[in-house]
Amino acid sequence: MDYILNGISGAFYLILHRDPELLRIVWVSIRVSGTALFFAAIVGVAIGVRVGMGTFRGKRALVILLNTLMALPTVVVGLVGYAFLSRRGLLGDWGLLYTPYAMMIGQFVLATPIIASLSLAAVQAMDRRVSLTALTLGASKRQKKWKILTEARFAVLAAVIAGFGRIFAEIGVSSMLGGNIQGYTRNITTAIAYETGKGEFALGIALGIILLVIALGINALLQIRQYN
Amino acid sequence: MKKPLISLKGLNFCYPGGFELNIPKLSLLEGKIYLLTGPNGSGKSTLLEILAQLLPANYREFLYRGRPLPNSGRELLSIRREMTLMEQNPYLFRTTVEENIAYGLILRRFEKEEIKVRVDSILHLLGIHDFRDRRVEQLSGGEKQKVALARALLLRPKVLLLDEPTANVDRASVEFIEGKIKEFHSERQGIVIWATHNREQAYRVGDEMLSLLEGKLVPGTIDNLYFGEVRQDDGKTYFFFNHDLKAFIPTRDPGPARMIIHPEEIIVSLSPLASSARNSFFGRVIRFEELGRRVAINVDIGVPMRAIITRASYAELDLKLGDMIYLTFKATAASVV
Repeated sequence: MDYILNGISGAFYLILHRDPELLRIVWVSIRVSGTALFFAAIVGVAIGVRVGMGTFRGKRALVILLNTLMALPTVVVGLVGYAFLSRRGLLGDWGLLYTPYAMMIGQFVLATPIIASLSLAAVQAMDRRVSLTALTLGASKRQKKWKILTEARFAVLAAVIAGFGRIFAEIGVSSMLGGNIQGYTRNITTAIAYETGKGEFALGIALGIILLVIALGINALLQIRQYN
Repeated sequence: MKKPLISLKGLNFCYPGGFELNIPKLSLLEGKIYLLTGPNGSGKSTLLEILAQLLPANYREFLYRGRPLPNSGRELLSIRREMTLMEQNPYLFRTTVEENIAYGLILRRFEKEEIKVRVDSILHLLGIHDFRDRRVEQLSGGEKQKVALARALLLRPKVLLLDEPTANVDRASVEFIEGKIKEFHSERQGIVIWATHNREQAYRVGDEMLSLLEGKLVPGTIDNLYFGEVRQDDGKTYFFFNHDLKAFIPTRDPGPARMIIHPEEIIVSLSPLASSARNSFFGRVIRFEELGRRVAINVDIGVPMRAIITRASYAELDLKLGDMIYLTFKATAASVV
């Protein structure tokens, strides 16, 4: 029990004193996941809206596929990414393996289906009257779609945050494609696993606290925005 | 003679569940208020949505201002922007009253200053200027109805389609909304098509009645709607209804049917009429309804039957509740479907 209590007190010491190593690790997480989320949000919301509002052959199959991809194991994405990005892989010449860019690509692949699937559900759940009202007030098809999206904004935002939650706390892609290189690709999750393996509970606990605070903060902001 | 603003031929629309809207011909003239009546499920909302270009339907011909409707593109959008539908349970966007009302003008790329002026004007006209900055979630049902109406009237549509606009409001608001729509119509002189269950309102507000029954337009109103059977008796064709009543009708095939009699085609008298009219029923007056310059009389002949007469006739007959009177109508006044 002592080692846990020592770990916790050590964690708060590191946080309060803004330990440089701690800050570097957190920054890698924010930079990698933030960039991946940015692109995943654009592509995922676009797919979700397009599929959700569209009528075309194969729509049902596409929806099933998106829902299935939501459950992609992170290590599988890591494995496939590794196969493509390693020196022997198709994209080996790009030299992306064990760089933050490889992590961003992997996390983009993880987040996009979640955001697409939940955005699709958000748009489909919209009241039919939104579309009819927009059209009868003079909206073109494009303006109507934009109106549906803005009316579903909180649900779509929740979809993006769900995507964020998936990638910010994942380790499979980060370790297999990032390599956990100190000061470069070591993010919160790979660092927790690494430091805990070394017995450095303080840093691991500190990073865990920060991860939870960030997740809590983002969800709290969404709730406050919705309430307002 | 005025040309129709909207002219439809061969309109047909089916829902997957089996309901079918089938209208062989419909012409709507500029400058009129049409009251669309019919029981629930008769197709009123469907017809309004089709006219508003919100629901695709099959038709042989759909002319607007004498020209066929384009299939898509800017021209169709331009026509659609001359029509506005206010639904029975209108949807207000999740924002403020002001932004809701301004939405249509924003779509049309009006200047900000002009939008502000027009929104101010409509808010004052409908007495809801205090609501400007309120979010729609804070409004009552009647207030939402007024905001939806403001949003529609602000666009000054040539064709204003209203689906039970006063369904969820109190009596004072009903009169207020009716007044504002009539004011708008008298200025704009377009077409108003107003769906309602309220017969008094229909007679009070409308220039012409359109009655829908099971997806078909029927002549007159459906005040006197009876279910029964067509049978031959002594070589003549009758419509039998309510166990022991029968009405003489023009020759048609026997079988189950519905009969509708326009209340204004029924003659009211205190004694039997000697005339060419073949149908005469005797019953007790059970209700009166004021309809502006006319009076509706409900009579129990075994089933309720409704006749509409002028105020002058009503005064001459000096009718009271409980009086026994005769209702007479020609065979050709009965529509059997």
